[in-house]
Amino acid sequence: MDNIHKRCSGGHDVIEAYVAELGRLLRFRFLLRRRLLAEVEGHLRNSARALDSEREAVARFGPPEAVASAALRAVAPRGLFWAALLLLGTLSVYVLPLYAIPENTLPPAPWDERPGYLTWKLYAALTLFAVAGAAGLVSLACSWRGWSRTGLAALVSSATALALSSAVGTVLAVQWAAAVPGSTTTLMIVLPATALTACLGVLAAAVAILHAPASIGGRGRSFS
Amino acid sequence: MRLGIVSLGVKSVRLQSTLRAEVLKGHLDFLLLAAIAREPRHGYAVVEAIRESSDGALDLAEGTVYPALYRLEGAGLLSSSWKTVGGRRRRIYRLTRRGRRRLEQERSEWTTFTNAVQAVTT
Repeated sequence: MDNIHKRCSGGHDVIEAYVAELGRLLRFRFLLRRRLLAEVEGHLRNSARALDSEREAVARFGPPEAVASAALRAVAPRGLFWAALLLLGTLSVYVLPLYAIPENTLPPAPWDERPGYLTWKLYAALTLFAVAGAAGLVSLACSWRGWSRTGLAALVSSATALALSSAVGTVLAVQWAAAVPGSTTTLMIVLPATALTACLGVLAAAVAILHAPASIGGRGRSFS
Repeated sequence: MRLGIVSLGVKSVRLQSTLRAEVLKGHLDFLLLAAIAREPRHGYAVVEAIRESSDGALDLAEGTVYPALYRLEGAGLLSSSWKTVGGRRRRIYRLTRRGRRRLEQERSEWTTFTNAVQAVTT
């Protein structure tokens, strides 16, 4: 409320000052901010007309910090849901550079038994991929149930596992290309595709974190 | 001693007000669904409808209404769209089919509960 008083002394009317402060609190949430500010301003103007006092209208509405925090909590499950879907979509695309492209384009390997330094990286990349998939599904289920905190933890785990899998996969692809003559073309396709999936995974985690700030308080939906 | 009684009185008023806020909070979703079921409304109209229907007894903390509406919309119980009302863009909320079903269920549970409490207390 101190910021509102400061803004008022700077020439804003009370409602403008309240809306500006609410906007400041939601500055990183463009869509929510645009919608909530439009609704709140309309509400406060009506309320001020009925009460014949802008100050009373603002006082009845409550502190902007509480409103912003409650609004963020209310939309968190939806943001998490879309982020989890994005991550699962990314994981299904990641099957291409991880398995489908190398399997179908690499020339036959010159060894009878795969060297150990390639084997452990291959299994590590696959295991991390499986972990990312399982955690992504848990995240989707939690966001559907409105369990924001668990869902966010699962989504961050999934994005981390995907990033590690693509890092290990990249090293594997480079070493494989060095060990198998004629596999450079495959490498040219696999590396950008791996980098892209890793970026999408990080993007999904970022979306989820932006939608689920530290103030998140457990279940977002009461009726699911 | 007198001071003690006065202080107890203040505490009791505070407790009553806290209880009322808690009770309202517990039934906020039900109240919002019921108010919107009568006709599609924007947020301010929802608050006014609840206040007027209850003769001022249910005076919601207005800032809690919009987050609750977003939550209900996220749960698929409400839908909303922009409409220009009196020269100002307003977000109008309406009940979805799922929201209507939920409201019926809430009403039935509420009736069962109030009947049971009444049977015990009268």
